[in-house]
Amino acid sequence: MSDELSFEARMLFREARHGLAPEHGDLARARARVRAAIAGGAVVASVASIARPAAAATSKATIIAASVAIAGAGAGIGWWATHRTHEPTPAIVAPEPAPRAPARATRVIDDAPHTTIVPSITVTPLPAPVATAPRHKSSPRAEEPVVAPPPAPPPPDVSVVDTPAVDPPAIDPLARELARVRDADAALRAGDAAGALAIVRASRDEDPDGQLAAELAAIEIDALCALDRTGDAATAAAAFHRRWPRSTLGARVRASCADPGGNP
Amino acid sequence: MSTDPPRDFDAVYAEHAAFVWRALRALGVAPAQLDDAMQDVFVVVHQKLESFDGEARLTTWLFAIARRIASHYRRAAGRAARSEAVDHEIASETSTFEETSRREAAALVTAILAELDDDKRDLLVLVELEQVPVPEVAAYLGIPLNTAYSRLRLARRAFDAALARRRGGRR
Repeated sequence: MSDELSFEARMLFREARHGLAPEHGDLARARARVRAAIAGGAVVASVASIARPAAAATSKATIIAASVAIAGAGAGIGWWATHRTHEPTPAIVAPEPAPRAPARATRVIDDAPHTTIVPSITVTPLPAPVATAPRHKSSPRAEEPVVAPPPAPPPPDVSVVDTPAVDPPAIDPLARELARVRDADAALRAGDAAGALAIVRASRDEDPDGQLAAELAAIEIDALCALDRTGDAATAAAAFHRRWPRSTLGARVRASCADPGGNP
Repeated sequence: MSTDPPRDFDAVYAEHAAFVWRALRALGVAPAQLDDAMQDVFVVVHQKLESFDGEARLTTWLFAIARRIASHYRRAAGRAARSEAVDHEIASETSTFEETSRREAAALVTAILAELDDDKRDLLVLVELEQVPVPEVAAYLGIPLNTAYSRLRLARRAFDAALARRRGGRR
């Protein structure tokens, strides 16, 4: 037998390299999430030096505001990405019972040092999630049932709480967009589908090509379904698939009442 | 060996995000989990980039991180869920013939890789999918070059055998 792969296998790998490649928009979306996570964990001393020095003048209030927005939006995205299906999804953030973490923080990745993001900002509670499975991937409390967050939780028992000199994240368009996602998600979970719809559309008016446009569009479809506007939901879902044909949210959209998957 | 590795996170992301994405998929991360897995990888990269010493190539360093993340996701999701996700992706997308062909190839390669043990899978992803030179892979694995070639030969045989079984099953 040859030491090389068979010709068919080599061709298969060649094709697979293309097939496994990210679609247009995938990396930008992932980058936005990475930025959000890093911004949320920017107070970790070990990574502070990597952040831009120019941001150092921003006030702590700004840091907290940005972190609140990012944390909440991260939770919202995570909730959206998973609440429609029951597939095991260990890696998506949950609405935080004790809202102190950025989007998806405090997770031991491997055995190596410095692999845990430890947020050190305590923020105000997020809106209470309603009947949503616990999703926090990293917290030791990840399996706790999700109920209304306790009021004014004590400071987290994190190892790094003595906030060093911080290069704070600025509130930029992404942070605003994240806040919109969070607000729309919270409204939807609270049963205010019309409110969620309004938030989504306001955000779209503000930035039609935002980095989280797909997430907002997905929430919009869910809101339309909640309002029994199935026709509108189907139209929105079809537009979603045209614009983001390989979005990881596509399966969730297909699982919605719009269900254009059965009628592409 | 790489010298003077890039220390700018944005540059690393711009240059290597696609590589990490492909690696995560090839290592069995379900499409629906890719955003999360990417976030995990690059948060670690952000944390550790300053301490990256350049003894390894940046690509193999990134692969090592991606490998650990992917392993976590595989354990969490389970093989059945992973296969389900891949099948669903193929069945549900509307694509051109070329896109469909590539996606099917990706799904088949991923499925076969999932059957292999970790060492074989790592070798094939790096060498056959990402075209990383074997000496670099050997350095990454910390094994002699001849050993790397020997393991690669076994990995290729295992892949070909699995492919033949699947082809035979279709006929």
